[in-house]
Amino acid sequence: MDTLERLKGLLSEVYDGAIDTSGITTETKLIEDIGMKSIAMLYMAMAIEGEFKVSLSNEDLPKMQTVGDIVRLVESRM
Amino acid sequence: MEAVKKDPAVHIKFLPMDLPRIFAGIAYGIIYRPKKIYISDKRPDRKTGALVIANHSSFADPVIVGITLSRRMFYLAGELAMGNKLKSTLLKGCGCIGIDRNISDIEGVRKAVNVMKRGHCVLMFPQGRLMRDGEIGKLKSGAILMAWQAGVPILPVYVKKGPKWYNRAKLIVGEEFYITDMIEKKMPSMADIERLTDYCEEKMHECEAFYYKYTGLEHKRPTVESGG
Repeated sequence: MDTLERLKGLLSEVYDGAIDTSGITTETKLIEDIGMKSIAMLYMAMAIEGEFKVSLSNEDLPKMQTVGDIVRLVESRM
Repeated sequence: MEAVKKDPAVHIKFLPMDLPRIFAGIAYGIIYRPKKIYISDKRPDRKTGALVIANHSSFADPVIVGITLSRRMFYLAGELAMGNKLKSTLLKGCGCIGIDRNISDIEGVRKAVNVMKRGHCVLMFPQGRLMRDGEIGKLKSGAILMAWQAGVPILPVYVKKGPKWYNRAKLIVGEEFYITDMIEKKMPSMADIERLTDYCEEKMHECEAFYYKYTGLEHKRPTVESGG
């Protein structure tokens, strides 16, 4: 499974099906389109670390504006 | 979840934080003579790490909670409270973990989670600010994430100094609970996190209500002043 699909799976778990992940692309914005708040960002970062076995820093989080940003970040660390 | 080796109960590396804790404990113990009161017969497990959540009405609260629970306690503090470099170094030496509330501080959270995984207690004030009237404000959700990630129970407590300076401080200790016992899936959803945050608030209110029942004091809620 590619990184985007795994990320969609994580989003689905975090939001427990409350968001439709089928329409999520690399262009999807986390705050504007998904409505992520700071606590959800933190949770997603923790979930990403667990799922992809990568380590994120405080500098990485503001760079995560779109789903594509996360995909690129994760793939560069794997 | 990543396996982390537990720390021994006594070790020279804890001396810098244990020594001030002992001295502060003696001083605060004499001044406040804190009394620990459990709301039920179920006692917290002392062999595991825990996330202690408390109301925050005075700067003495961290010390009162630490000495009353008689465990090595680490504290979460906002970066602002950490102050300048000297103060920050001293506070970190005493077991403070700085959290920057203006960002999603994943590094600070990771530090706190690792401390709990190593078998220690972390105290946090989930209201996120000092409320001098002693009220329990709206809680923030970070506690749920940290306790879940560390796999430790949340222990709600209510700390209150007496109405007069010579009254003993009281620490009402609630029942600890695990996040994993309260969710159906492996990971909590955002809806679970909101529900569990409300649950924590409810548990803290239970401790507060027990305090007023125990002391027989009247709970005077602060009145909201209307402007104009």
